[in-house]
Amino acid sequence: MIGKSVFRALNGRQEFVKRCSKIVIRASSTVPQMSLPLSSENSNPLPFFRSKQNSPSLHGSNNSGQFYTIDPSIKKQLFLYGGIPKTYDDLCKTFKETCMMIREPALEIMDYMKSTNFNNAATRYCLYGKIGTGKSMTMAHLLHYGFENNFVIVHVPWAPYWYKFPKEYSDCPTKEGMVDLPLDAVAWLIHFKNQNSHLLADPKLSVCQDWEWSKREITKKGAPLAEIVEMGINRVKHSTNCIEALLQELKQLSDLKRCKTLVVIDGFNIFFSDKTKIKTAAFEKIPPKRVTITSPFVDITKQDWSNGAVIVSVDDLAFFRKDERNTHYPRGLLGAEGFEHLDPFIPIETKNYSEKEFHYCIEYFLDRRWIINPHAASEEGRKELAFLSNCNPFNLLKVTAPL
Amino acid sequence: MMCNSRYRLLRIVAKYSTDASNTEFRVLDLRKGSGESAMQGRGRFQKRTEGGPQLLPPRETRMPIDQDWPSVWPGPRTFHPASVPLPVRQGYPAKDLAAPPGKYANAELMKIPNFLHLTPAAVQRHCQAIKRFCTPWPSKLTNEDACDKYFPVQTTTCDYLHSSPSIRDPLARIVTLQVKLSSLPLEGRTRDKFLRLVQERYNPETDMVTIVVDRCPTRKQNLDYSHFLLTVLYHESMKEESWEREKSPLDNELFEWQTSASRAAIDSLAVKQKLDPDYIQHYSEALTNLMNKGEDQETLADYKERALRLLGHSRN
Repeated sequence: MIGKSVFRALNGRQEFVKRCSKIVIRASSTVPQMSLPLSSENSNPLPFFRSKQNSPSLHGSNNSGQFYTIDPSIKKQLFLYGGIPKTYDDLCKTFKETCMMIREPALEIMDYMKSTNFNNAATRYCLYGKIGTGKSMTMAHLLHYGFENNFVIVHVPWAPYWYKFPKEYSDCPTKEGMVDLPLDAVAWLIHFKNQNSHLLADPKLSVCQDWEWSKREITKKGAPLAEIVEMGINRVKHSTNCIEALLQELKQLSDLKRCKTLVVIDGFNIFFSDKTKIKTAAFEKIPPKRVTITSPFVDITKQDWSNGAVIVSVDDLAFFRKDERNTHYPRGLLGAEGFEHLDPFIPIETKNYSEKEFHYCIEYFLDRRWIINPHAASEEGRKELAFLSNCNPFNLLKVTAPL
Repeated sequence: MMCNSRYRLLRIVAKYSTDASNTEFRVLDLRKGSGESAMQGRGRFQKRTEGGPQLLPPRETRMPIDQDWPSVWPGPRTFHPASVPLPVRQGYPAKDLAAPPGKYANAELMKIPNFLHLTPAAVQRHCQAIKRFCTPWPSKLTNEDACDKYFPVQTTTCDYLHSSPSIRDPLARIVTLQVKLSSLPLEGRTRDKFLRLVQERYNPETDMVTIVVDRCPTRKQNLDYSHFLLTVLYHESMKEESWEREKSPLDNELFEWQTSASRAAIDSLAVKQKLDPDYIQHYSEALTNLMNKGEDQETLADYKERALRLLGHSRN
């Protein structure tokens, strides 16, 4: 083979090169595909769009726009049962790393939380913004922050799932006219247990009062909080009651300064809507307030407890498509009742990408080879992408997908 | 054709103006071959005389500038081009770039009403003639506001004339009564009740209540009825019924801080943590603005700022 190539070289160099390159290509096809270099493996200094700080507590405005990596073990603990939007999760699987952009709304709420007087009542923060601007992502970032700072996390990844795609519903045996979602309640308790496993072992988290589930099943005062969680997971019948007890206990424990609680609920406005897919045994469609799982989560967002924070998001997508309200503002989405419940709160807006954020995002996509088309990386190409997606994070993702 | 006749008329004017006196009679000559036409064609194929019989020049060309116009045009009259010394044009030109048609044989000018009989001079003469029957204008009514103050109620009626066997028109009975709401001593509950009774008859932009009455056959009856309506509306608004106290915050047209659930929430919060009353005041203003004006960037940003201050949050 090699001898032949040398002979050809005397006649035409090009053909020699062609032959050689053919050999090379053939050789590499037998080697497995090279994997994308992970940011953690990179021994070189980090590119400008990546943050050195992977700990949200240390994020500041100088990190604004940068991507930080979430450790896989933390991701598994926090987000196993939801928290990162599915589209972005698929992207993380493609990129083989979970990176999130550090953006202004999260930094703002973290600033407030760092300087909060935790003796005061728990402040409610309401995230609002147009679709695709990063409400759920901000909540994920704040979840990570709460996790790092040893908050007990009460997290509902997407509340409308319970009302639009309930796993199973049945009439509540104890409360007249209400409907239970037993399997969804169990699923949530498992999610809670997973997120707070490191804190539930703490002896300070013990029950403040007796809880009677049935004649024979009682959780006594002083028992660990984990017992209520276990009871709910094992005994499906009592799962919603366990959630109620758990959240009430957390409120009391926070007041007593034995723990601090961070409540994060996505799609909060569904609790105040008037339609669900859930029906009673008599096939009567009911609103969310007649579902037993609603009240504990509405209760914990009140301001009658201290030593914690409540972060809630309102989204037009939470409603059924026919009932959408075509607004992204909190008063319009919460309605009169919801607004009265949440008032006074701090409304935080999530916006489309700024110029800097857009630039960093494109660089990240280029780095991860999400964008391969060379024209997209050019000045003109970026302008085109900015125009097509209107710098909306979600739209940018969709627009760059085929590139 | 008309242009030619105009030039011809001008030529005639020139001829006549050189005459010694303008009162000379024209000589009527009906023979075909006489006069100017005799000069033109001869024989069987004589040319038709252009422009028709000889005409006097139009009167407008002989009008002095300082004439007494009300005497020329004493009453309403269809437009007569030869009597109006104005180069008026009206209508759309046949060709795009041409001037609008002139006033001679202009049907459009004749169709529309003209007010040549109501020039300022004519109006002044009318007024002078009527003046001796009038009383002086009230000295206190110097401007609109004074008129509104002393004569708040305006009544409008319309008269119709028919040149037919009957001079009556059923529409003449309609009476419109207009009054400004600010001239009535209503406020708060009474004003709210009045507006609910009156509904769409109130125009918030002009602050006018307009009541149109046509239910009675004669105008006088309708007039009396409209006065009655106004009286009743006012007195009913002043009365307070027992069921009016059942009005709940849900029925309020505007957000009221004092009776709102938000205020109750702030009050219960103030029990547990220290809240600056100034900040509560600012917050309530921002909330009221948000609820009444509607949600948008500005009102929400304002609300956020004041809520932050109230709850004691700040950025480092």
